Amino acid sequence: MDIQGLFDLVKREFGDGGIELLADRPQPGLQVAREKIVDLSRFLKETPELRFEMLTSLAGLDLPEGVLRTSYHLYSFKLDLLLPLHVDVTREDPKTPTISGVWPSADWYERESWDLVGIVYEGHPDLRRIMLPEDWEGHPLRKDFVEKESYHGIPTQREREWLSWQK
Amino acid sequence: MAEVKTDLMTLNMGPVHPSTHGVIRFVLQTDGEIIHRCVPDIGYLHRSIEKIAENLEYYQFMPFTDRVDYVAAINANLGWAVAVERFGGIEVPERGEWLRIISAELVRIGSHLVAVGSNSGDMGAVTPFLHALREREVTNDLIEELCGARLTHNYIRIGGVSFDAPTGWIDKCKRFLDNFEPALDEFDRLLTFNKIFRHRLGNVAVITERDAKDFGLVGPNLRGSGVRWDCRKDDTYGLYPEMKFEVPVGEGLMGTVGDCWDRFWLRIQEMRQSVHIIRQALDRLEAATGSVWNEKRVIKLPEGEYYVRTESARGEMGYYIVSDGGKLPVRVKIRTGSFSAMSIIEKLARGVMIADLVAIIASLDIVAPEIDR
Amino acid sequence: MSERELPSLVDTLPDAAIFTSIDKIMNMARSNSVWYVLSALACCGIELMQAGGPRTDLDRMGSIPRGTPRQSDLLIVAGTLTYKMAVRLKLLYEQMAEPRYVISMGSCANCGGLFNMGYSVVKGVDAILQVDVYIPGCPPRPEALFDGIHQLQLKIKAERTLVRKDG
Repeated sequence: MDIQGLFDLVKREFGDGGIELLADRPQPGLQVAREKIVDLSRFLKETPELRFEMLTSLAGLDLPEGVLRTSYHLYSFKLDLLLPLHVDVTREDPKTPTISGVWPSADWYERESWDLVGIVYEGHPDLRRIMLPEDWEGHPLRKDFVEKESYHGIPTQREREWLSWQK
Repeated sequence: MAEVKTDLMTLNMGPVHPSTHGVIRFVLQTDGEIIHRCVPDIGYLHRSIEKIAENLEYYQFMPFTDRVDYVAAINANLGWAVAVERFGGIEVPERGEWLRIISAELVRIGSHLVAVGSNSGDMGAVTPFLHALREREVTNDLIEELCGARLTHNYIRIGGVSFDAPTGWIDKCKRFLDNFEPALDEFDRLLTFNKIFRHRLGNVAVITERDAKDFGLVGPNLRGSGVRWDCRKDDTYGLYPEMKFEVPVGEGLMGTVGDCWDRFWLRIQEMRQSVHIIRQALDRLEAATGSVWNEKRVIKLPEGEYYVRTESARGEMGYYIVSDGGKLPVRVKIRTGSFSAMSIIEKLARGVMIADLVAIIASLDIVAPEIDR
Repeated sequence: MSERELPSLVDTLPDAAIFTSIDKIMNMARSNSVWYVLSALACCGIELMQAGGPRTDLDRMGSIPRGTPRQSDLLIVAGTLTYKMAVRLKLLYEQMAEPRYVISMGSCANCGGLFNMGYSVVKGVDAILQVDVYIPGCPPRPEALFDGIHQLQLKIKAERTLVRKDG
């Protein structure tokens, strides 16, 4: 089954609206509205013809014009198909439902995305920082992140200022 | 006899510990020796590699991929090069491809030696660790003749490799392979079928196939649970389709399918398969001529998102690149096998003893920089 | 009394008599058994591990790795130091009994190294500890680490504990 056949199956189940096919990319995928992502994930995992058993990757991005995106990559051993899904939210309202109920591996990936990009996953069992210290302020992977002067007394200045990314 | 009131004890298996493989921390709640709850705490080696990638051009990012997995650095380099070449439309000359395969498999052997050696060192057998290091020193020497560095190689370039093999290198490789296979048999006689090892590792921390797929495990961890999936065969790249080799899976010879012993045995089998691949590639390298690097001065990827996977020593390493058509990427995300392996430890470590937790961490082959990047 | 003034006394004494100072004997004993804490943070940690291995053997200088700071004299900071780890490293250093020494191994520990641009990396371990020997390299070869520990031995041999400098 190729991506067009998969999209037809999904449309029959969920109807119009909320799920679009991005067919002209080098790796075609689906653009999903955030209300439908949990039901779509459960459908993709449990339907016997599809069986997307593995969540390979979950990344948070900071795109221009205030868009925060979560990119999921699902893999099906049965179809040998790698499927990207994208969910867009805005900076003013960065909430996305969690899919850690469908794949347990999403638990830590979503914590990392919250820590570094600042997307809030609703319904997550334990959403706290994972890579940075608990009392760190700010979300570093955003494009407008500004460093603090020092952290617990350790200075953060570099010897040569051209090494900083704040150009 | 009166009932004695007991309480759970909170123990810290801290960032600096002789048997955790790098700086990772576990907070354990134990009842004597049995663990009730184990919470991992990571981030002590978070070096902001993904943020640095947004400020460097594609060919400048290569040394940072070394440090993502420093035990098997060439595999990480290769993943980045394949990711940029596949969608940037860059061809690699044939001699470069063979050198890539040979160096990647040599480094995979070195990484599995460290995994097997430190696994046995954590179980208390300290001498086989030194045997493994002795063999690894020879692979270090071979790679050092090729690219100049022992550990963080930075050997692969986008469009080829950086240096050609010096004269006499191919014979040295063949001599190493001839001496290495008896050393693997010695390992088997000493350790793998040893009664203490079987009791320590067999039937400990069984990962079922469903759990392995749910938690996103890859590489030897996934194959130890019976799933025959290898990126070199199923999502192939380079000239791997022309190599003949098998993909071993865990069979539960000394316990259940998916226990710690299976993953240990699987790594030794994978080393044997790597030796087989290197022998074939050396013969093809002798016949190939030409340059080794198709150098491009300006590399730009077309606009879009790309996810490319290659097989590193710890499993599938995926590079997710988002590009807007310019010279710098917008976002780079590195997906590693150790991050998922870390997330399953909380589930596996309920009801086992602390010494078994050491066996679990060692058998999952976790290195700290892959988790934290 | 120095040895040069009394040659006849030295001739008549049995061969097992040496004239020296207590400082020299103490320093000779201390410098030939510098035990280090096995605290490997990053890539330099692998070179530290291989330096204790069969080819470059640190054990022939008397240096063996210990698991706890309470039994060791030397802290080799091998690898990149992050802000999250800096607090714990300082605790580790304070648990060592005096006299204690610090070697900063590799360019990440010297000055932040390759990751100078990063937001979560301490730019050199001398922001929080006092360093005795700096070893450059990325990573330094095991022979370079051997030379660094040798320099530390020379430094220990030059210390004066009993006889103060000012009198």
